[in-house]
Amino acid sequence: MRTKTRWFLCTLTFVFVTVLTGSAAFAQDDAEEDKQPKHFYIEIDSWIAQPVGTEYEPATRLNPINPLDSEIIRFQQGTDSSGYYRLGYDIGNDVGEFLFTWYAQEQEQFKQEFTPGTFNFGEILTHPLLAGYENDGRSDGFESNIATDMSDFRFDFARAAFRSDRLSARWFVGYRRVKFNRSIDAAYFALSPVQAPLIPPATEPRPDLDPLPDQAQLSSSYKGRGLEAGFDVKMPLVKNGRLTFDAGFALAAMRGKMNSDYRAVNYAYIFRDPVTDEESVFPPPYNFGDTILVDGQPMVIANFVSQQFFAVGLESESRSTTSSVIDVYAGFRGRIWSELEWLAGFRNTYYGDVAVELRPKVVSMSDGGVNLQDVTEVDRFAEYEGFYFGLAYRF
Amino acid sequence: MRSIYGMAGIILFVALTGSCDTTQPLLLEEQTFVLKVRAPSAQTNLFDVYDGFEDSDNDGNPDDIDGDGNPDFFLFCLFRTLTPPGPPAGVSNPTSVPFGYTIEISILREGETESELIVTPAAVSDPDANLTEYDQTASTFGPVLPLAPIPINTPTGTRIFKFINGRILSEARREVMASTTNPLEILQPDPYANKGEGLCSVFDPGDPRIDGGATGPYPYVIVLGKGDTVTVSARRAVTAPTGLTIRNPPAPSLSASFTLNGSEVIVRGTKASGLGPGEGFSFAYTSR
Repeated sequence: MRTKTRWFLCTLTFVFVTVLTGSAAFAQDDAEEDKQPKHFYIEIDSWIAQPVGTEYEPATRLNPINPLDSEIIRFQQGTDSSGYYRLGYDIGNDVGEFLFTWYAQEQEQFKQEFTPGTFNFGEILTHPLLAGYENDGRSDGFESNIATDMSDFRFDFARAAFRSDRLSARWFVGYRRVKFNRSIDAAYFALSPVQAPLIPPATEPRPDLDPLPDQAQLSSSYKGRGLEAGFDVKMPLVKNGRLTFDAGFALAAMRGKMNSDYRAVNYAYIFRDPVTDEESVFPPPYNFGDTILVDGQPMVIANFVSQQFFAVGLESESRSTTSSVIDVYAGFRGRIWSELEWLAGFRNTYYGDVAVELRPKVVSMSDGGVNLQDVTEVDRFAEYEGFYFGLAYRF
Repeated sequence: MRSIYGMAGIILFVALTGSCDTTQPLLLEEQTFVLKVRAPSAQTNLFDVYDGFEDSDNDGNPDDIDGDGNPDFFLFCLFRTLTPPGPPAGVSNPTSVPFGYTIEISILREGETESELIVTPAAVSDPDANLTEYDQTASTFGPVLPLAPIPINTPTGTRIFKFINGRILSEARREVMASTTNPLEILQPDPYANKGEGLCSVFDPGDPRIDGGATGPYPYVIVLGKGDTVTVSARRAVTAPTGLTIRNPPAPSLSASFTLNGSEVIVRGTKASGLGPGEGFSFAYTSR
């Protein structure tokens, strides 16, 4: 359990004990609640949510001793505290309530791992054509950035389902709109390759032959909207609303548009034959300092080598997508005074099929350029879970 | 009520104690490496080398030629011939010889993706940039016959030069190559101005050095922090320094010594080149 969550749990326990031993007299009769006039209420809580299931995987780590023991390197996203806002309007006389709910979270993260000279990172985001320093898909270091951006807006109409001294419940239906963006990019390096020295007297220094990093970027953007329905229950644990157990769930079915794209660039050394002028991929080991005979004269190979890029781009725009949201929460509420309540609990929201990873699977090269012979689209979900605590005010 | 107090207290206690996080700060240690570059395993001419001095007053004591109040000595070199008075045939054992080379040293600091160029490769035409080490082997070839005093007639009278401490040294010794003049070659150029007939060297290439000494004295010191990577690349010049005769091989190899606390470290790549003009080596090392 993370440190922040443990401290929050500590605070929650303190509030729980305080409420039980509170000496303030809250004598207002809550049995008359259902006859309340029209009123607004606002709830603001801090939801310390952790995105899970995003599956950001920038590279693999190969085990040189046991190839069967290689592992996928993943981002471990942490918790982030964002505001969860709700504005409600109770029409009064048990007619119902209008609820506006808003939540948004942005999270960015950076990761890098370097093992100069030891090429044991697999470049899993770049396209497979000529990836890696020795065209074997391996690098000795990588850097990666991820960004996750989610916003969730709900507009519901709620109405009491039943009410008693021990339990009250309400149902609600409404509209939900979700935006979800995710992106990951990575650069794979050859930080410390050992090459034949490209310095005088063999050749002038050739910094243009220093290996450039292979790069890749994947992004996905989703906007969807649809109907939702749900149910809340409240169970008073202490009289006069000093402590109430509060739980509920919501289900939403949405339809939206998905945009996704993929960009990747790999670099490779190209040899131009001085006699035929034909170009070909220069295979490793890169002995650019060696000489070849050209018209009977020894010439350094580096004179005929250049570093070139092989780029691949893929786009999928406005793809119609069906997705879903499942919302569950459970917690406690307590009255501080007649208009003010505290609230705390645990919330989990699952967003299904709100992202797509688009990647080329088979890439080949011909005279016409780079060919994409097969692509994959992998649907991704996102789930936010964590504790929340806040205040509710009625006016 | 008591049970609730108790439960709350337990949860509070667990939350407090479980929240302790003792992360020790990472300590970065620096390591100091020493880089030397040699052109080993080359054979040069052998000289019979004497310490010469003028004793024109024949009192047995070296004269003060330059008038600084101190007796003056000079080196006097004769080709070591196996069958005198035949051509020079004495050849040294394989040893290190001074040779020009280009070198590039870069350091990739931990967590960085761009290397820092410490030493840039100088132009081949720059004779002052880099020079490998000299022969450091002592004379092991046996006794040297005493050399009789040499009188030289001058308009002001006869000057007598005597020779002691005869020993056999290779042409690639530092003191031999630094000795580019002696009094006899000035007074009687024929034959004493000829290399191996009195004169030891026609050109002094200077002390061993990297980057002309601009970025540090020789041996070259490289300080690496934990996780830093150094890359060293070098190529030997095509021709030997002026006046140095390399008998075999015509183009000796180039090699590096990269040590930590006096011990060679295992590197990636190679620390020695092949034979041939312009051959080189390249290696890298990551400090752990």
